[in-house]
Amino acid sequence: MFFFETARTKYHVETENTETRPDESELVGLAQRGDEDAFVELAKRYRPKVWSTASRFARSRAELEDLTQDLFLKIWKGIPGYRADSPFENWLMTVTVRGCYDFLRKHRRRRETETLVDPQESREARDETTERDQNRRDAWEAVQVLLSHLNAKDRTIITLLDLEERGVRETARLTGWSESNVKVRAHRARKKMKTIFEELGMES
Amino acid sequence: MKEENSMEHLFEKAKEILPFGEAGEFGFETRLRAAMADASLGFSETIARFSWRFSFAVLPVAIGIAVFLAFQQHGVLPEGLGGLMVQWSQYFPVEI
Repeated sequence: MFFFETARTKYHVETENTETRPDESELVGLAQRGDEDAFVELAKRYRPKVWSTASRFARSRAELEDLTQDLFLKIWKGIPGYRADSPFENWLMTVTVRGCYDFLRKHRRRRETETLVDPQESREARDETTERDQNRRDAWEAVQVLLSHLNAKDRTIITLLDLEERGVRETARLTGWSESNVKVRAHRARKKMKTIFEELGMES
Repeated sequence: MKEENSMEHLFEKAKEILPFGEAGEFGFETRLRAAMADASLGFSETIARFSWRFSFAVLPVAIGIAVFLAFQQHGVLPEGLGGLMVQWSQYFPVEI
């Protein structure tokens, strides 16, 4: 009885999965022909990944919500141009990263004059987190200070390499810049951040 | 201790956190669908959305057309409201 039940349950789950989750390539094809429902389903599937990458570029949750929506709108507009010679996720993340870079460039002047982190949000987060989480949050805020001294291109590269843990080749593919350009810029940016890190006495 | 306080260590700790938490589900689909609908507006719908902005431009254009027609029809601009009424009375639906 136990085995029977287990097998039945497993079968049921598998059937449900194939029924409720259409194939990705099918969804992409439908979305390319303008099917909004198919695109929304794709957006729901990839939202955590886009959100995670975009969160490294935004300074508040509200800004992140707007940025994520703008990115999905770019993906929606660009999806007819997607060619299936590379995985859909690669193409989607390329649009995401380039969208984040555009976002940094557009908001550069505003970012220089405004505070780095929404103080209210930061305070709320502080109340809810443990000491370990708080250390991570403090580290993140310190990293934001360092990154704010870089230009949009260098900041995008350092974010992808050092925060997203992507390799040089992948970073080059996502940004559309050459591998040597990524390496040279990363080297210079790290050197610059190191100087600022020491000048601000962050090591203490 | 040196390692503990290095910049690399700072990045190591920073990448362990999603600074604004997980993506919430609430309202995402609604807002995305609204944005997609806005993005796929046709020409006439786009013009219609901004029609109130054009209303300020309509009055000077109407005056310009009226002046142009007056010159075309009569070769002279009307004097005051009375002159305007006389000049355009032929177009009125009722006799004045």
